[in-house]
Amino acid sequence: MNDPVLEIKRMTKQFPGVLALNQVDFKVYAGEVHALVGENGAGKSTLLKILGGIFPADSGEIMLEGKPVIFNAPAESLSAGISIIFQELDLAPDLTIWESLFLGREKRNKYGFLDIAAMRRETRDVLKKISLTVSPDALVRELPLAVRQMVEIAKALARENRIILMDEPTAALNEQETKTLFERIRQLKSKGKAIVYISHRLKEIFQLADRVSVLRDGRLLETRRLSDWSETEIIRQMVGREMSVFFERQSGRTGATALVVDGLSRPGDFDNISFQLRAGEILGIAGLEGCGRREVLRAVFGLLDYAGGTVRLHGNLLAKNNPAAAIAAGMVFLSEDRKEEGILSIRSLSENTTLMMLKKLGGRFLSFLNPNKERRIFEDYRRELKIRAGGPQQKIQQLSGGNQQKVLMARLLAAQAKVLLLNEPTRGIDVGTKEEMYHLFHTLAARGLGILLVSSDLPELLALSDRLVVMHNGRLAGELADETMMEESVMQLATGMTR
Amino acid sequence: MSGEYRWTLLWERYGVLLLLLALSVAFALKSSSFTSLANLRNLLGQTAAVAIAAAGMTLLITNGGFDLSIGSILSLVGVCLCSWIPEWGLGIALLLALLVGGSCGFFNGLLVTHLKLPTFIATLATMLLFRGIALLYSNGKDVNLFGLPAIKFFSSGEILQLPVPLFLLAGIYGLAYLVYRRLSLGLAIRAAGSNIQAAFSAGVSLTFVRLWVFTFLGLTTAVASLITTAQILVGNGKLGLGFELEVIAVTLLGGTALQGGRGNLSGTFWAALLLSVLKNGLNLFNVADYYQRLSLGLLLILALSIQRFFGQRGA
Repeated sequence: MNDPVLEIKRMTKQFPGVLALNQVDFKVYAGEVHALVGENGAGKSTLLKILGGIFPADSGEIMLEGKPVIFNAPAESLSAGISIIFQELDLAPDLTIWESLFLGREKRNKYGFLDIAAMRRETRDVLKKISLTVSPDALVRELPLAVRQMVEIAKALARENRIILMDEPTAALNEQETKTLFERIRQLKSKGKAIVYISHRLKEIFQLADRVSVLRDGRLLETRRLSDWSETEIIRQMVGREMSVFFERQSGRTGATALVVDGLSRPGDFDNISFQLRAGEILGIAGLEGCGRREVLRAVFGLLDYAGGTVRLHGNLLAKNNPAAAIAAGMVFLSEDRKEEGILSIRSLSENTTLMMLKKLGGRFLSFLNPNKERRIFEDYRRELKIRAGGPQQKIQQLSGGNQQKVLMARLLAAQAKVLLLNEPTRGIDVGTKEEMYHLFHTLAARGLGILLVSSDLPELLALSDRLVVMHNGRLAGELADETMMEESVMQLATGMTR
Repeated sequence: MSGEYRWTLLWERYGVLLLLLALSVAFALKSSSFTSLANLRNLLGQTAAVAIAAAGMTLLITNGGFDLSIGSILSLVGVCLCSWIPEWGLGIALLLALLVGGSCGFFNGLLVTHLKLPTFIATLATMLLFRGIALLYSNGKDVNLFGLPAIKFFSSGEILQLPVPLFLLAGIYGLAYLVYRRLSLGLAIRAAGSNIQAAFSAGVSLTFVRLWVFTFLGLTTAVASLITTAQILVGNGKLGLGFELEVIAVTLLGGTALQGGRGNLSGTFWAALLLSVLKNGLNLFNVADYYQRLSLGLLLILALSIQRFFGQRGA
């Protein structure tokens, strides 16, 4: 082969607590589709963002056709010939399609005014190429999600850059649209463009890629030609890390059914989700980023509306969109976003602890709070959860992430709930605290609480859960228990390899 | 669903115009003096200052910002004009006054883009700052322009038998429209207001755009101050109290979305006219000033809640 169009040398990027990229070497040649696969958090998005000029790498080099380059802003990366289709859609809803396609590189006439006619004409051509029958003048906000995704693709195509990076471009597309996209990608390839294709869907990769690289925990493990890979090998490389979990859970006795979710649907996010959770059971929901499990958890608690289906707690139907009713019925929720949706950052530890039980502390809004009682409640949980803190009056923002998380657990427990919905409960906390959390979940389950657990850390999910349901693309792909609960079998279901 | 969406758009685009027509017809039927030439001129003069500043405000809000300091800029520019015209003559004083207005806007922009202050805090601070400067410079007293009627040209002068404020209005709105629809700058303004991340990753210079819209608003406010000063022939540090709120109200009433991305220049103009027709009509019927304020508040609630009502069902 010739020299690579794009080459990355020993690229490293450190985020607080995570080494997102670790000495990554990566080459892309003209006229190839290079697939990049890896689990959640393997470092794919970080790599993409560095190439897109969103933020710089800590060390390492980017070489474009043999010359080193540095991107300080997206504009520089774009004009160097790199287009990126990001996973989160990067469109302004109030612009028309043609405006979106030409934003940042407008065509102008000789007087400096926008050459609207020319831009609309070109937009129409590009849309035709990807078989999209919408007007160039349609506003992005009026378009369905799938069409927006296609517009995002059209945006990259219209630039005619020589390197195109795509992050999960088919996430919102149906089969027909995916086919059209693949035809376009093959055309681009034959024109000598270099394409980096990131996807969780191994099926697509086997249809499309020339070479496949596997990223795991920030390291690029291996690059091979597609014919030298097998599906099972790719999966094994994606997940095959050392088990960081020392904790082995013994399945306890489970009690009566506590939570019944039946046929829950929300167009675009999840479809026909049904499962049951028993008292004393830890049920894990596995799946890749964007599979909809986060949304399911939020919908069950009432933070997200759903179109169809029911949620029953101890036999009683729960109202939609009503977290207060869920808490009153004995179900509480821990958000994955501790900072934005969890802590009251400038309030005290005791206030943070008693937030969900204010009614129990003293009726409705018009009753006096009892600071002494609040403090006592906090002190009780401090002992039980080993919260390392100064005193009940300390502001929660002064604690470490792990101790903040413990205070949030104390808040859930103080509400005397029977069912806990935990979304990424150990994200961003240190190993020691994680261990303590695992024991806590175990103790809680033994006490008869039902726990519904979502975690991106697959080994953790496997070690903690009694049973696992796996989601793929908004649907339940299968259920695993006991000896079938293996990383490989989870990944097969999660990547849509088996049905 | 799309049918209701269309209703929203129709209301956004023409709702204010509809209200304006209805109100004007009602006033014209009730009072013959409403349609008299003198009153129409009076109406134009009242409208011009608010409408011109609101053109700048429309671009700024579309870009995702807003500005509380323009009432103070109005006052400061007025004081400058009245102090400098006797000293340097109308021409130079005019240019310097525009420079003052533009600089004030630019300064607001700097606070937001470089000191990273939230718009609300930045312009709240400069609202106090600029007014303080105006009071200091005028020693807290009126600066009169009695002996120098040349400036009156900008309020009651005529070109081709048409009043001068009309030309200023047309000029500013023409310029704003050109920027908004016909220049890359306008696309960047709208894109950044609609989704700042998308604009950034498309390579738009967010800082330049934000500075530009703030400066443009400062300039349009200076022009508004010129018209006002030409009407009252006096400058002082207490002028323009509440001007910024009136201008923001008119902009929102015209259909520009407070969260940015969607501006409506013609809507802004009709809303400014609606505001003065309302005031003017109520004056003709000798309704006290309190009711005028009250009715503007009600109008805002009415117009925006109708929009919200349709918007929520249509979205």
